Amino acid sequence: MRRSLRTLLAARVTLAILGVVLGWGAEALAHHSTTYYSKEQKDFVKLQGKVVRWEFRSPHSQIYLETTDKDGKVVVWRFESTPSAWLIREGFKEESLSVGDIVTIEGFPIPGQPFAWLGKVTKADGTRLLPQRSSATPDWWKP
Amino acid sequence: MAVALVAVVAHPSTYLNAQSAAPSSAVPKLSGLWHRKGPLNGKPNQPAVPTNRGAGFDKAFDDAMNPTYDCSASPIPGLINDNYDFGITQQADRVIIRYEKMDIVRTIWLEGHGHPQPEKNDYTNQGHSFGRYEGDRLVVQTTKFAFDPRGFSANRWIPGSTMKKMTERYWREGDTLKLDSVSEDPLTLREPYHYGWEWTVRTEELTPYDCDPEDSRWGAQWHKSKYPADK
Repeated sequence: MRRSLRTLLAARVTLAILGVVLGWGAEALAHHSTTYYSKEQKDFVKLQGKVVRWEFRSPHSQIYLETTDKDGKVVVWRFESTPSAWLIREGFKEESLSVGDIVTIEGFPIPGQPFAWLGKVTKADGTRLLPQRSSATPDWWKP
Repeated sequence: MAVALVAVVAHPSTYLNAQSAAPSSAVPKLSGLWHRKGPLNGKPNQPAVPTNRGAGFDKAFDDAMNPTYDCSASPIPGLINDNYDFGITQQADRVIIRYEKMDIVRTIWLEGHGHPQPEKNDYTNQGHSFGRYEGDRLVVQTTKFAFDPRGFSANRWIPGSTMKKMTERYWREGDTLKLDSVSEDPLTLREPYHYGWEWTVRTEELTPYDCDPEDSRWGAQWHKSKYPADK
């Protein structure tokens, strides 16, 4: 366990150094710190539900997803993403999503809260909406 | 006046008009919309090196006090390091740079046109910029910055004092815009902070930022303070 933690930390340090060398640093920064989102694999969520609100804006776009938890209770999750200017570069437009769409969303939550950083959206027709990686996206996650 | 200025630079046709308004054929054509390619000549940019005073501020600063949470614009040079596109409009006596990030508009007052010096107490978020053409380059020198914890990066707290200065040199090679810059601050930087970037021509209009203060402040509630709660 300790060894795997060391390996994980070494991998993160290597990626961070590589990022500086290649000039990724500024690319990966969010509007402000997003360290409150967990990067741990154990906290990762993949949820299916209905889009009940979609805010395409700056500094962070938001998708509100109505889901049902394991007890049958309705929970609305808030998925935060990059500003509209960055989403557009990835082909993720305001009209890419609509209220009422049934989608599956992957994300990285604040532990214990129905709030998460957006990883990926998969629509019912299989279309994938993928924001660019940011400082809130964990290194281990491969979309 | 400010509204009128924004209106002028917001219309895409002014990028073309501005080119024809440039004072002479010797002036490099920098007008247009620009999209980040990468660091200058592929050489990675290094982080700023703080003085002990600057490093101490960085360590003590509590994230919830970051002005960005209230849609306050990051000053240059951090603004330019952030990966957003921008538009340049060259006019006979000034150059206007409009950034996608936070909808910031900077005016570079060209020397030799009688533009007044800033008032003694005129310290602002983006400072006061004078510029001149040197051969194929636009050279911009900026001073009179208001103190800001985001002195040299939007996400690191080496502050910029009111003594901060920045010099930018822009030139064009084909469809590539290049920047070489140096920032100095005797109070918070141990050595001059150099960085450079390259941009390519962008064809789509800039995306308005229209920062939402409520959305922006939302994240601050999740940061634990470095300091004990007041009683």
